[in-house]
Amino acid sequence: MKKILLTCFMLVFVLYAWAQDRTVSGKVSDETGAGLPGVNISIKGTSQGVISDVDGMYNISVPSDKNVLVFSFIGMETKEVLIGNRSVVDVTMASDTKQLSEVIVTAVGIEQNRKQLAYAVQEVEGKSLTESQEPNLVNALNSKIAGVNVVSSSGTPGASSSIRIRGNTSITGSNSPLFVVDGVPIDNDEVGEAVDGVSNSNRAVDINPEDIESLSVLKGPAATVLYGIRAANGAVIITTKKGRKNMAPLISVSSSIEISEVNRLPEMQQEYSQGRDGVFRGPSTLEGFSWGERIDENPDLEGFDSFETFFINGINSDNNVSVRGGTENISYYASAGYLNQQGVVPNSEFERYSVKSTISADLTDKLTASVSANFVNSGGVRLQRGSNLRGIMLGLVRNTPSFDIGNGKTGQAAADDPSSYIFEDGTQRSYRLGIYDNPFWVVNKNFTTDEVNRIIGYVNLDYDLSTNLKVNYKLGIDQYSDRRLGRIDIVPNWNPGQIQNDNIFSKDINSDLFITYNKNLGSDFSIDALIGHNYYRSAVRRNLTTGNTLSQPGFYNIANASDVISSETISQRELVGVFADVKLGYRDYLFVNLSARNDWSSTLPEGANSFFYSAASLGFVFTEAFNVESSIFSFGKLRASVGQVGNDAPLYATQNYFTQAVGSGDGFIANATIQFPFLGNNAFEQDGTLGNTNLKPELTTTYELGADLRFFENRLGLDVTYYYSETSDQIIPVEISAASGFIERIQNAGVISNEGIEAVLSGSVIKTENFGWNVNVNFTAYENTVLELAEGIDNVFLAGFTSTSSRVIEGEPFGVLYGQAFQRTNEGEIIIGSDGFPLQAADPAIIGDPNPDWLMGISNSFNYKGFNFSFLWDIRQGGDVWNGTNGVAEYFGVTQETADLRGEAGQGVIFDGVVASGTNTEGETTYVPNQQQVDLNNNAIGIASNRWQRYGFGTLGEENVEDASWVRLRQVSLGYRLPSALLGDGPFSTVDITLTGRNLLLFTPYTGIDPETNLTGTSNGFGLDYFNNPNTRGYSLSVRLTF
Amino acid sequence: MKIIKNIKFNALVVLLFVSINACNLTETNIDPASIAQDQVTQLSLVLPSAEAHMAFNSGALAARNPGIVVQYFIGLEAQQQQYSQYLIPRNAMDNLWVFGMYGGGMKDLNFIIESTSGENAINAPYYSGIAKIYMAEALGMLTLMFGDIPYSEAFQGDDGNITPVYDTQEEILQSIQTLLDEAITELSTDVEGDIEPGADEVVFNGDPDKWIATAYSLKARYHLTNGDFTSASAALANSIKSNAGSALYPFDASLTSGNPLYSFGDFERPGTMGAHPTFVSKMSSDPRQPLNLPGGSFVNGFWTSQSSPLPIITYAEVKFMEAEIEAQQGGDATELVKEAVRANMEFMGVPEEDIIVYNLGISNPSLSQLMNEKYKAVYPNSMVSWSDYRRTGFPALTPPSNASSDFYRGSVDDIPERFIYPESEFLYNVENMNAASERQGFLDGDQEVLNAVLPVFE
Repeated sequence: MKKILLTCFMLVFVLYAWAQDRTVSGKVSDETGAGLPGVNISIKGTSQGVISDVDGMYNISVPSDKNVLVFSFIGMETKEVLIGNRSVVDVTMASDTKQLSEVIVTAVGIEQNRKQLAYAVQEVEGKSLTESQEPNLVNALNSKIAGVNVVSSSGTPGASSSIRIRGNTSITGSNSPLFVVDGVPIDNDEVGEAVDGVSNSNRAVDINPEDIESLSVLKGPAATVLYGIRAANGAVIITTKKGRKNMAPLISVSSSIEISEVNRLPEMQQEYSQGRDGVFRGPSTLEGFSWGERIDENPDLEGFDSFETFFINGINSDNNVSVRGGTENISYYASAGYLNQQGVVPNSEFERYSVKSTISADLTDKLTASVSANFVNSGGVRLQRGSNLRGIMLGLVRNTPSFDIGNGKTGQAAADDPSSYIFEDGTQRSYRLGIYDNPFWVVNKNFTTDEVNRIIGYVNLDYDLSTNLKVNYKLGIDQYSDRRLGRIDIVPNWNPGQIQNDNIFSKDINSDLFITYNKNLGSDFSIDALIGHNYYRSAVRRNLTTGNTLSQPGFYNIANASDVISSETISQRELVGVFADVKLGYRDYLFVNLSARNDWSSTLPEGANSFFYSAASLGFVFTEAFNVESSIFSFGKLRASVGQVGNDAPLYATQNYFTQAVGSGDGFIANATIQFPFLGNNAFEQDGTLGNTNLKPELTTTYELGADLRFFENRLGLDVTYYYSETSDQIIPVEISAASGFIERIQNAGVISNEGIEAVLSGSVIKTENFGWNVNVNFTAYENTVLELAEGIDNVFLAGFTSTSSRVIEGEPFGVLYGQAFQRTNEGEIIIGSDGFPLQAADPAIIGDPNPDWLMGISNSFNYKGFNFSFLWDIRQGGDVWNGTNGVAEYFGVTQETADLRGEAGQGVIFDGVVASGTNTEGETTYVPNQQQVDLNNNAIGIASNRWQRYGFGTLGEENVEDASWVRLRQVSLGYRLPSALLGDGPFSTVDITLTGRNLLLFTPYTGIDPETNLTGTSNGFGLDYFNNPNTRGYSLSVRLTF
Repeated sequence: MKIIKNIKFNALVVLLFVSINACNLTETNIDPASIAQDQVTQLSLVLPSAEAHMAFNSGALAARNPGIVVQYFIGLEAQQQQYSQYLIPRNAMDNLWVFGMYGGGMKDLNFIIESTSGENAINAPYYSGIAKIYMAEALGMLTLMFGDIPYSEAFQGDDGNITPVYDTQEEILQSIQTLLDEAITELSTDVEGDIEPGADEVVFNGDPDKWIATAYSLKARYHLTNGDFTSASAALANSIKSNAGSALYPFDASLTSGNPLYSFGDFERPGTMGAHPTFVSKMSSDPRQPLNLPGGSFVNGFWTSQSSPLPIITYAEVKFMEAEIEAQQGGDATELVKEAVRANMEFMGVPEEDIIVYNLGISNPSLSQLMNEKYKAVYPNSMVSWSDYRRTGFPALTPPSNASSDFYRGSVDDIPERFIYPESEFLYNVENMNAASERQGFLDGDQEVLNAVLPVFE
């Protein structure tokens, strides 16, 4: 009896305990460990809930029969947590990466709900940029966004990178997208990147990727019409990190170090010595060739690998600290960072100091003001490159295998020891005694230092006129000074030396005023409208002073020059625009967006300087419209848009000018061409550009169709876009016959089409509590075709040399490679001459296409408890690069291939082709297959018989165009976040350690350096490799702490 | 309502902003670093540019590539080696045509000629005369390189003609004579209040008499090229009379004022071109040898040091023309040749006794011997020697054994007769260029060739 009573009593007791509410408390944090205030914590199955406090703490009373808490916060993934027996439940909220936050920053800095967008946009998190370990923001975007193609010009510290969204459309104007930081357009120009000289930076390199919260890429005119003509090639919208109200200060410190090495070099021989015809001729003979004797047959000779001797490991270090937080009315962010990059070439360097602060304050309950200032000091040591007797790669590649450039030492040790590059009498120690510079001489004596001081800042005012009406005014300034000192030291007997003071001062002012109106009309309609005014002014002044013929070796000041020429150029333009945008929403599934803009530009003729363009887009979420309920197909949206954007003329194109004369006419005499004053006289000459007072603005019209489809409860997403655009009335300086008295004429001419597909496939393959696997694939394919050029013109030069260049040719893809080719029959067979060798054609021809067929980036990321492992493959199919370096290297006999084929293996070769055999009855030449055997090299006859010398210096352009497709492992990273248990009550909230590999593997048929290269930097011509500096791979370790 | 008032106010502000800003944008589009074309009135600012272009170019591509052809020079490496093997593609002479001549010095000369004629003419006959002499020389240089070239339709780009037709070589040679005649007339006038060149003209400082003598000498040169001995003799009567009257382009000892043969050979492209064995052997027992080929190199010689002048037309060349006419007409040119050789040697500073000894070897010279002497004396004026070779066949020159026939019709049995039209014409004026090539017989199938004889030499 007693037992039964006890059991009942216990049962009742237990039941009673169960029936009671229990209190559950804990902390809600974000990924950085910071407490998240304002998180909604509700009990699943009830309407009860609480909100987390300032520190992210919460306390909730849960009925005994409920066991699940739901944590939700905007922009974060909603989390459901089983309470179980716990009384303390801590939760970390993660950003809603799949949907990539419902909020996207679009034109003029306005945040938009992604669902409402009817055009193609793609977003990247700031974290993804810093993980790439690329100091140049543009490089960090590589392979991450569909439609975006990034090509870095080389792996040198501070080297420029070009970025193209949907290819090239403008022949001579800029094809770069507009970079906008916090709503203020900034300067991303690169001043000066010719076929020789040093490698300069594009100015986005000044932005510290650590300061970036997120980045969205707007691709077509429908998205960018509100930015006007400067965004005709798309826009990269960068949002920097900001503070948050009511947030305790969160300090974040990060430090990383990377070791880099050259990733790919052409194969060079170490078998044959300096000399010709099989005979050794040493440095004192000034012999340029390496067609000498076998090194292993001469005990006095030794073979050296010049690349091994020269390149070193580079070291990068990047240190940043930031603090963000906020009180009730003020939020703030401040950061400081220091980047130091030492390259794989001794003495090459790039440094960046960056200090940034953004403060936002609610002045009244209707008026908010914010101020931001970013001060950057960047610069480095840049080395001569490219087509340049004083450049690194030229001297390094042509160096003969029997000469040791390091004189017994290698790398930095050789660079630091003058005995490797200079004799006691001051003359240069190199294989040709100074005709080409020993690379160790170059890094010590032919370098340019630059220092950029830049400030990017803005003042922003937001005023709420009423609940629906807001006014916003933003005044931004981007100003920098770039002082460069270029040095080429005296080379006794060969070069009188040169100093260059190049001072660039640039100032951009941008003012935006707009009024926005948002309202829900009834329950079905919503309207968001905007009208605005924009004023932009840009002025760049460049003072270039060149001093030739130095007196004192090693003294790099303009006072050392006996012959000084000075010039000042000023580039200035102004733009005024007014614009309007209306978005209508119907029941949150149908969206219509109309926008229009009118611009006035200073570069168009007086009285005709205004132009108008507009865009319309439609978005339809059909899954909601038709109430599609499916566990497989969870979301579907169709997008259609058509938009136009205009573009203005180059500067000063509306009239003819006289400029200070230069006595030119010979490409070989570049430094010593006649400059004025000459013999005591100054002179002016008619500028070669024929102006045009009838210029009209360019117009690009784009049609875009897209779909955003998601499956399996949004675990798998596919976003596809197809677009077609045409740019007409292109304003081009078209080269014309010089016999007209002018070299080029500016005119409206040219229609370029651009057609492509972009697709992004993202999937959360596995998702459990402890383990996750996400895949993201982006795919880009586009074709730029030159439909028409001007009347009588079918060929425009973009970049390169008179021998090989990248051009715009009617009917062909943009930027085709053009140069010397073989003579061919009508059927395309090569015509062989009577000496058994293929014949060179008198007329140049199209020899390659540098445009890729398609690009793909495949990223996999795995996370298991605190570990995170991800890797990114970058695949490019198609795209030719002219390997000009190889053509010259073969001529000199330094490539492995010439070593292999100059002996027995190269005898009795029959070239594939046909020989003329007579004429037929109609007078046409007939051909028979070639049977003639020739020796590729015969020392008895001498250099004259040499196959690699036969077509002259650099051989034929056609012979050196190579396929530059690649499969590349661009990024691998393994990261670990220390468990919070380990950190306990210590000062740190989170500690992350990450190992990253950059550019670790490269598979490509290209035989030279890494084919992601461009001789002319960010210019419109591309696909040229002529003694470009090689690219690098890197291994890094980074630690990130928050407290 | 307050809101509407605010909207109205803001709209007004915007409108105001807009209307103010839209107005004065054109001033921003005037280049602060250049002079607008209609503001240029001082011919003394333009003539030096024209002269510098003529000077530089006559010593750059116009001296080297024809020099390689007539074997003053030989290519040792790089592009120069390729040219020595007669692989002289379209792009080899492109810079000369585009940046040196038509788009360089010739457009400035045309500007001066147009500014001094027609309505609103500037009163400056001497500028006009000198410009016409240079224009004649420029046309002469180009037509003897290529054949037919544009002239009557040239320099009309701003009137819309960007594809000028090619005048025939005969028309060009006629234009040359007309220009020189007009120049002589203008330089002989003495007009009140005219603007005259002075220190801005660096060859003769504007001296009209010296320019007149030069014009006559050029008339003789081009009449002789045409095979017209009578007209040539008539012109020679008024030509340069002494070394002091030789027309020479001056240079200076600084990097950007230097002699272009020096600049090329000394540091721009050292080791890529050297003195040709043919020239070296002809100089072997000549007292000018150490002056032309110091240490065996062509650089730093009398005509190829940084401040060395380069010839437009010299007294020595004039004398050789007289001598040749005499010899061609069956006379004894001994004294004329001796005087010609002496003229050149004296100018170069050869000691008197060496001149006398050398001249003892000249006696009733054959045409071959005469032309050999001229070849040595006019160095480095490659264009003159190339004309002489094509006209007379002397001095005898054999093509190198490694010459390529890629740009030849048939095999290589003689030195090139011309250069193929430049790449810029092929790209931007191809119809007119092809028409000219066809009518002159320059094509082998559809390949333009180097060994097609120019009309004037047929």
